[in-house]
Amino acid sequence: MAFAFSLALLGCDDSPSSGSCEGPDCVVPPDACPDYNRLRNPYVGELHAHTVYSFDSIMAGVTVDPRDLYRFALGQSIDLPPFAPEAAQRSTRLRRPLDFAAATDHAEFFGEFRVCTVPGFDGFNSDFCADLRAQIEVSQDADRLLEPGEPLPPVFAEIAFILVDPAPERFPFCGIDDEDCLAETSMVWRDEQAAAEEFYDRCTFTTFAAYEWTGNPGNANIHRNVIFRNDTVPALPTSYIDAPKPQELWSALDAQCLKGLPGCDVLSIPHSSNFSKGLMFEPTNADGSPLSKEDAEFRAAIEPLVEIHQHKGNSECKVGVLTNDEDCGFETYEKAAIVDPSSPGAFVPPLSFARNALKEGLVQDEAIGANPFELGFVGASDTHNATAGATHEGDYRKTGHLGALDWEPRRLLRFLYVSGVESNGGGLAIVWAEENSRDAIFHALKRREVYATSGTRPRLRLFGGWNIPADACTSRNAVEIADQNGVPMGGTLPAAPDGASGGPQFFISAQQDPGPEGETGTPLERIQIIKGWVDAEGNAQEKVFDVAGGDRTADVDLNTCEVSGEGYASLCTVWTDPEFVPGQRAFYYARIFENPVCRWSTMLCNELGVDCTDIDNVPADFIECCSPVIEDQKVIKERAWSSPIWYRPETL
Amino acid sequence: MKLPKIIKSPILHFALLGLLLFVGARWLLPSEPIERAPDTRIVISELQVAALLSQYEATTGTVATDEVRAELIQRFAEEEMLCREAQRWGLTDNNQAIDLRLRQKMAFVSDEEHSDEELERQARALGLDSDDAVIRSMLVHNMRLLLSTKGEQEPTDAEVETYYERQRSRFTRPARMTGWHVFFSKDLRQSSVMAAARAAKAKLDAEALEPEQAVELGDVSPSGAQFKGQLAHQLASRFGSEFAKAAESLPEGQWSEPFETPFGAHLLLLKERTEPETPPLSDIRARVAAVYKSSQRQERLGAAMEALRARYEVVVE
Repeated sequence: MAFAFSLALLGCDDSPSSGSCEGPDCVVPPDACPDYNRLRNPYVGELHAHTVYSFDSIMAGVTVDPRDLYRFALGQSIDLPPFAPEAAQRSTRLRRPLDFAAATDHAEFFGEFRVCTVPGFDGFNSDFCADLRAQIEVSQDADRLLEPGEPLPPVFAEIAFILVDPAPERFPFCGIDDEDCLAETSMVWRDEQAAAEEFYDRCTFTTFAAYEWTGNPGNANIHRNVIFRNDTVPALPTSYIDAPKPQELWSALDAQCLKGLPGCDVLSIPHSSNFSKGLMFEPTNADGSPLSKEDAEFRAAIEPLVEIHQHKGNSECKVGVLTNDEDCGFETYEKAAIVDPSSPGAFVPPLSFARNALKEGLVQDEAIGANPFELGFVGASDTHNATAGATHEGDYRKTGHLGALDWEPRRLLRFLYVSGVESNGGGLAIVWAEENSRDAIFHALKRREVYATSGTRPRLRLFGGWNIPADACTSRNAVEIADQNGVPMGGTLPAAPDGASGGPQFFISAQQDPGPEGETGTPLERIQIIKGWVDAEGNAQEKVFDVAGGDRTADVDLNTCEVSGEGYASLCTVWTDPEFVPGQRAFYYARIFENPVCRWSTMLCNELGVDCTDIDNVPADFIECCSPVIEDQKVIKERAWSSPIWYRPETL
Repeated sequence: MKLPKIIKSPILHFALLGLLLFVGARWLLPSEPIERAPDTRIVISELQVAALLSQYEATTGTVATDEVRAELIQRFAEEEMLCREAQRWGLTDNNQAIDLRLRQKMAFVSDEEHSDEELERQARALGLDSDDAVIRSMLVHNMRLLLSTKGEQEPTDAEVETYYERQRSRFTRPARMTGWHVFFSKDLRQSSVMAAARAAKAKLDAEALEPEQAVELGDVSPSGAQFKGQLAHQLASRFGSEFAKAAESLPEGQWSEPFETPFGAHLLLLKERTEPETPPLSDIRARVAAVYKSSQRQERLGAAMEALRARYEVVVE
């Protein structure tokens, strides 16, 4: 599919590297945007952010709605709770606008929270609703917040109880057959859509109607974001309560959207598999039976991406979990579920991480003839402040992502569920699309021509093919050449042409993030290719190749956070797999690193004057600064991950 | 709790209802009030006020000020107004959601099997339709919807056009830039990038080179030598904010002086800069119409509530 699409874009090889389309065979759509580029432009966006319509945002004192989220993404400021006393008031704005965004509020409790907060329904007077309203009030006032570490009020537990129940039911106050809550759910869902419509400005800013499906059966986080291509969407969202298994969610989307509603298109993006206890990528059907070829193809089609980086940590890989890749220690939590206490070295099931899922996908493909885990990569913030795209390392310590719950340092450091010292500012999704429109961006997401970043905005391109010239990087139309001779990230290598010898070539080009205005971005350190394959014995293997850079030294002063040394403004290489075996199915993805910088916690703990060598004198509020779980993370290397390119022996 | 739950009738019924309320409000809801003598005097007892106050205090943990007290009474009175208006408009008579609610409520208390009509009749006889909180909430909600969509037509071309003209700035799109740059790579040349750029500029000043030839004076730019229809923030994220600023200020058709970005040095030629412009209405009609409809509904509701406040007398006794 991806291959066919890129073929269709060929045909005008006389145009300059900007990709303007001037050749005789080149077809630019009549309504093309001014920056239309058949070689695709990079668009920076966020497909995972919450507003007041999410139960956990409103309970954290957040008051802003999807319209505020879109305004924020465009560059306007947003006020953050708490709102009292005056000294606690904060507001924030993005240093650089986004090109696209989607509000992904938790579909669970859309209606429940309306019933609880809008007088009139019977449920309004229920004990739960009264407690909930009290909690909402409290969360907006800094003087009345719970102390960090104090147990959360029972309303949190009552909500969590439903979300962890494998057979969830709605609150009893929802009325007969849940009708009150469902009626109000449709109201909220309509407003989410209306907000997306009002802010969609084709060619300039793209929005998507979306929501989050929030399943935690048995405390395993198997959350998914559901993103719709356009304004043709089902009447109601499908929440975990309606469809408590991912397969049931997909079936519902298939029935209500793909098959049931002409013009409707949708995809589902899993996130935080690091807390899924290995359940995010189970290669089975809902009843536990093994996947058939058709099951795998359906799954790959509806779930083409995985969010591998966000504020609740990284889900690419983890040292000790089927890998000894030393760069797999980045922004990982030392626990297997979000509610667990930190316990370094605790067992984490391998399929909690995307790289292992990619490897399992190859094994499945080998067995059943289709790969259920053909997953491209996106990053996201998962902010609950409606601050879409707020991933700046230096800003996270001031804004947090969870309203009043992490509004001040001691709370940000110690709130142990969503934030806390192991959390981070989250990542972004950068899409290679012809133009900034819903169709173009959605199509790019579906074909996985998208990459994840850990929050900064470096450029990363990857093409794989059989005829990419070794000197492509020094050509003035390098991308043109790579695009003509290969498939972009997210695709599957075509059949090798007759006479091809050796392995496929990969063109990898990266440029540093130049940084927002008034700030210099961090140079690149190196490019790696991560290869996974299935060996002759049928076992999945992986290997990391350093393919460019890595030979300049840079450092960061832990006390001042000042950086020194050198890196690269850009790196480019054409790499040939030296260990290619034609009969072995494989995937390849690129990972790029920036030079080291201080982690947000290091900046914050420095500002607070914490001295961990004198641990007895560190105030209890800031003791997390000296937590062993961040010992190795005083310094981080921001990074980006391309979506993989796959190789299938069947194509030979 | 299995999947079929989604297609169970009450949910579909409500999904459909919600949809109808929004998209079909205009033809689903009545266009004129039915004749009923409206009681425009709202009497709120001290007992009701006390209940409002204690609810507020229980929720917020603070004692209501006089201002808050007035606001609570006002809100309560407005909901009552909306309920009475809903009766006046006949929303109780042909509201399937209310009928359903009444049937279900009645079926709960009644042991015997009854027809739908009989259940509804019994419920009304017991007065369940006037004091049921769910029904009241539905009525308030639907009445607000009715008031905000009352008389709503698909906006005419003229209305959309007028709104577009009045709110132009809301739909204005930023400048877009098209051009070329000669690039000198810091990675390749280290500290000599600016010297190289100055030498190239001297050559450009002396000879009239086509942009395609000019870019050959510099190094390969990994982000391309040409850019087309770019917004300032796109240029900034590709080449750095210095580049974007130069593109925003440079006159068209002349090479810039050398300047530096994190990538190296650049000479910039701006071929075209479209000034910030509002796209022709024909390009964005759907969006303008959506924003217009949304703003009209808010205005309509505000005006209607003001009229109601003028018509009703609110007494606390």
